[in-house]
Amino acid sequence: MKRRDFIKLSVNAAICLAIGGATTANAATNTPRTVIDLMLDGGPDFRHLIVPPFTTASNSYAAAYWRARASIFRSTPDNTTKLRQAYRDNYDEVVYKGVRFGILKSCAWLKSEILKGNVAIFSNVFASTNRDHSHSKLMLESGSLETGPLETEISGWGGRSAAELNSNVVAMTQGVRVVCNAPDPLGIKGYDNSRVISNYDSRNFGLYNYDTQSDLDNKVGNKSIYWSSNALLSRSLTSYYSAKDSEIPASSPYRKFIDHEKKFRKFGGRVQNRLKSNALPNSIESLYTGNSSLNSKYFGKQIRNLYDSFVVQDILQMRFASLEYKGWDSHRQQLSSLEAKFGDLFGRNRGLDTLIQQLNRLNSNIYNNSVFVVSGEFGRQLKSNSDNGTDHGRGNNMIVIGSSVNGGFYGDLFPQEETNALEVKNKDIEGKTSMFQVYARVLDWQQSGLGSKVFDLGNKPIESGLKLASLLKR
Amino acid sequence: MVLRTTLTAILLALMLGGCVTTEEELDDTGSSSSSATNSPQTISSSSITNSSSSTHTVISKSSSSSSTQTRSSSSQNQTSSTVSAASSISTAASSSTINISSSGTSSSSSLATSSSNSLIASSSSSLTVSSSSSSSSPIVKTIRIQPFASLTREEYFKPITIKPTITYNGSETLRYFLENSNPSLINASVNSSGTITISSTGNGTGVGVSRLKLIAFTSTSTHSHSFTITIKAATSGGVSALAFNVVNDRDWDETAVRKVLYTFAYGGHATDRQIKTWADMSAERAIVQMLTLNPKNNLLSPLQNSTLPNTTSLETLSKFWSSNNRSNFIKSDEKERFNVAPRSWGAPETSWTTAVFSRGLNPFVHRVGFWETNFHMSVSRASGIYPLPLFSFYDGIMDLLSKNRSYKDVIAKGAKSAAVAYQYGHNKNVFRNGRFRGNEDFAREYHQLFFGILGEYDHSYHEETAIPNTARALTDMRAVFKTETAGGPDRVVTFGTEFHYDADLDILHETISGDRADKKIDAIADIAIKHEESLKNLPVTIISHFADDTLTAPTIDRIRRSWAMMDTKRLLPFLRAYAISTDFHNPSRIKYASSIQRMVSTLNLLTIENEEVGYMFYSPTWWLSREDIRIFTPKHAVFGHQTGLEASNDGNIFRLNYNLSTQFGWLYWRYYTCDGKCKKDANNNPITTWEKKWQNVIPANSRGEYIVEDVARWLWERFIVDGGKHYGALERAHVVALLNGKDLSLLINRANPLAVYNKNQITNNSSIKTLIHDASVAKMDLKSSDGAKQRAANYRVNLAISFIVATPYIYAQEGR
Repeated sequence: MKRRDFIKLSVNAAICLAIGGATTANAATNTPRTVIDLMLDGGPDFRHLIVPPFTTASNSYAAAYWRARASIFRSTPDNTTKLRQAYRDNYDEVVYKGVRFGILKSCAWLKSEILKGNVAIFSNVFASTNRDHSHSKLMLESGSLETGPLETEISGWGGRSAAELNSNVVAMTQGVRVVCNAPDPLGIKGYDNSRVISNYDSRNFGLYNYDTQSDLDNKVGNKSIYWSSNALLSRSLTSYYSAKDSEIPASSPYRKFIDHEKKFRKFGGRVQNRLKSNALPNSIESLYTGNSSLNSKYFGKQIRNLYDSFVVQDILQMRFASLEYKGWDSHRQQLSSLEAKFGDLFGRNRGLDTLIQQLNRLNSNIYNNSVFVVSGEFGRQLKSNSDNGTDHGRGNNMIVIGSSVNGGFYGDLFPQEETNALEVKNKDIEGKTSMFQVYARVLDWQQSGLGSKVFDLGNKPIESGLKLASLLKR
Repeated sequence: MVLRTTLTAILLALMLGGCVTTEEELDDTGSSSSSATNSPQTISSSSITNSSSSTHTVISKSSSSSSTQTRSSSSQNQTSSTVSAASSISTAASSSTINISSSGTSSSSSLATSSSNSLIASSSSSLTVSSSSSSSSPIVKTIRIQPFASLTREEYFKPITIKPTITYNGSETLRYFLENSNPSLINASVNSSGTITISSTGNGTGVGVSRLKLIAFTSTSTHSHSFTITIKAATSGGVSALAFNVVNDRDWDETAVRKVLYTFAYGGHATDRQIKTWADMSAERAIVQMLTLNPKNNLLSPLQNSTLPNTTSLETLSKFWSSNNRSNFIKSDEKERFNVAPRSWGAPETSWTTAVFSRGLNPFVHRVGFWETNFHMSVSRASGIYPLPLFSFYDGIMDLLSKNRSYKDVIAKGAKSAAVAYQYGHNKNVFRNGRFRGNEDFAREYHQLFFGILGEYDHSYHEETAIPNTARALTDMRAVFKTETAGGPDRVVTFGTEFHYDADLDILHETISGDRADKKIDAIADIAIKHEESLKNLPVTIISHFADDTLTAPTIDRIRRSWAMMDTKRLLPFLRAYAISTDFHNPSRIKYASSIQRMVSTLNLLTIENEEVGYMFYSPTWWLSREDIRIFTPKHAVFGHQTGLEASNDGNIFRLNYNLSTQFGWLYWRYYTCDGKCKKDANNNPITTWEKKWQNVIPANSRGEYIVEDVARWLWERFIVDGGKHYGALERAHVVALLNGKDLSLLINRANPLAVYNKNQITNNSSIKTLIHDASVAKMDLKSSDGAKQRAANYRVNLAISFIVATPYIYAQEGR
């Protein structure tokens, strides 16, 4: 069964954009439960983020791990001194809920959130049938293993959930990820993105609008600037799109452009007015400007966009937010390439830490009512390659963060059986828990039963002993 | 060695009806001395004496059957239609005689070397051509494929099959030529039996036609052998439709031509007259003129006032544009942008856009180049790919494409480049001391991205055998990242043997041999291009990229079959066939415009002459950077650039384009320059150094007047290319108003500039109708001798363009 056939639409088919109501001076006190999807493109190696403590104990997972990954740390498998030092240099050792592990020193904020019980770490999860980046991302974001490799016109699980909630998706990214697409209520196209609001440049949200009324009020006359080119074209296009709205049907390929204009026209002024009275915190601005910016200024800008989107959440009717961080395909030089990225995400006073600090200042309810889901299309093999990196493997970890989360470990963090096939070239990692099961539980937290409306969970596996039901606090 | 050769050829002509006529040589103009009729249908074959080692055989289709037999019946079904009549050909080669005789129930007759000899095609039988020779080796045979002027589409797309049987002593080489003045129009395939080894381009059974259409065979035994040469769609001035259905003549109109140009050449630079000429030709013949991979295409892009290098090489062009060559139209203060140096990061991008815009070059070439280097075989400056290796990468690929080389060779060329090696890092892959060191990144993507092989055929085998072994095949590819002072990174790979894994490797269930990586890369390409998954995915990916975001199952089926039927896969004939297909010209086809497609097409069509290019007015690097788009810096790195679908879904892209027209519209409004601050003449008019010359391309009416109505419709078609499909009352009203220097609200009631007028008001309110009508019949001063008036008219044209390119219709193209 295709996902697009499976989706049940309970939303109003004719009106696909949730319209914000209140225009309060600030974010509403009771913010709605919101899911923030952070996609790590390229196959992130979470095994590099959280590792077994170094040991030489024979037949242990930890010993096998460090031997298998020696090249990442520019060591040989037998150089236990160097490997031990690498562990000490790069990781802090933590014990939480009886599990001892190392976490990257550069991810101090994540460590503290883990110890607060706000982080669920899932092991042995998967959302793909293969190790092809593009295809795996399509499967992951559409929420279906049946999605074909070229099937780009398809709805995503975030878009479907927003449609069920009669709310909107806000994309902080350049471009809109497949996960944001809602199903086409008319069933004509593979998806519909009229619920998706692009907010990549939040402080410039909206369309240029020449202020003719001001000219008229000031009686500037015929020679006035309202005869300027900007004025002529601004009025022409405003008038044209307004009139065109009723002409172009929902089935038209051009409808989406009418919708784009409509969304910006509808929200632009209100968003801009609200943001004018809410100065961007310096700490957020510094994520993408200045000397202390993140390694990825692009991600820093998305944090800004997300912060601003929460400021105007009531206007945008946001229940699902989409972010991305690219460049996780660490075939080479993993140590340098990944640790900076993990630091951007999880470091003290870095991306997520800064955001949540500022959101709490804005409204303490926001973090309480938000869940961050951090995942990628697949993971990496346990054994590193000789280019100091790692190659693809389907199985992976994923992380769910939020103060509503029952933190801890879900699934076997260090599965012994993986060490048995380390000498098989390019050995795959077989996941045990479908990531769709995890997403579905998060959606259930948003609205009871939502997960099973968005995902076909029929035969999706869950690792033996894994208690998903307790993932989120009611 | 004494050789005795007997050639037995069976000509199998599949006729659907109608008379087939062949001219002496291929003629793109389509002139023909005979016309197609419904019957009788004739195939003629004759031989021409050659040198001692060659026999020149002419096979032609002719309605003027000067000999032999008449087709007894015709069939509408190609699979059941065959030839019943036969002739024989004898040659006067010194020691070579070719006889054509019938097989089966057909009769045979001898033919002299006269070109008047012919075979008459009919159904349900076949012809046999036999020949014997005792000439010394190699044996060379040539079949001249004649032009097929004035034939109906069905007539000249009949396959012809020749089945010679060779008997000889010892190992010999037979070179079989299919000769035609435009060999790219001929598709030939060979199926052999026995122990004949095909030794020309390609292995196995697939051999196509190179520039001289050589099919070479090396026989390795003394047995008799038979083989089949299928000449498919040997055409005169036309192109093979492959498995596509060709758009009918009614739908092949000027808009159809423009849609092809928009899709494959950013709109091209062809004149309106040329576009009409192509529309009046058959689609098969027109497309051969429209889409070529030669450096220049004078019909698609007439040369203007300069002599540009005759090359597809971006590096050569960049050097030219940075030079003081008198033909160089780039203004002095812009030349530095083209400097070719190790760290001239912007030069490849600037050269590419300039190559697209330059009148006199071939924009289709660089559209294809963009596909290959920014999508299919992407590398990225953001990954540290330096300009010189990037130039070499682009130029190497385009060199092979311009020579109509097989697609596998093109792909292998990319795979062997230094740029790709830096991108993936396999330039450090080595096999040393019995151990592989390196990564498997490109080993995977060579299969997946370059050929479309995802591994679904056998997931475990692909992942655990094919990919690791491919990584070993990629060892000892030396490309060193030297410093700038040392000349910068190596531009090409040196293939070594010292650290190469030189043993055979099991890849794609075949044995891959070679003592260097380049040999193994070529060997993998040979099998990958024929792999079931590549046949399934690669052609669909190509068409999806260029033209279709709404592929249907039947279209995908035709795409795959078309690709599969080319024994030697070539991009040009594939794209040509698709570009004239009913699948491309289908109203349900939708292709959303990426930022690059929209912006580059718009700016290309905004450009009238090379002098504008020289000023770099429309260099899209800045314009595209607003949308965070850079050429040679694909959005998804090796997975390619922003797609049209992505752009269409992104409201931010819409916002930026909208604001470009409203807030930053001056970018569109360059209609004169003074090379700096303008001095004024006695009448206070600027003394310009260049002014827009819309009057050179916008057609005047028969009285030499430029009427607003005409200009409006012409502009819409130039930029939107929809045959007026979406040029409704609302669009017309706004464009007409702007061509009068006002927006619609000011035109209708200047006291209420914020009024919104809908279609109903515009079409039904008589006073509004009158106002718009009056505005539409106004004359524009595009050719006025008064500079100020002319400038004002140009300004208004640009205003209208700013509006047009911000409407919804700029973001997508429909097939019809």
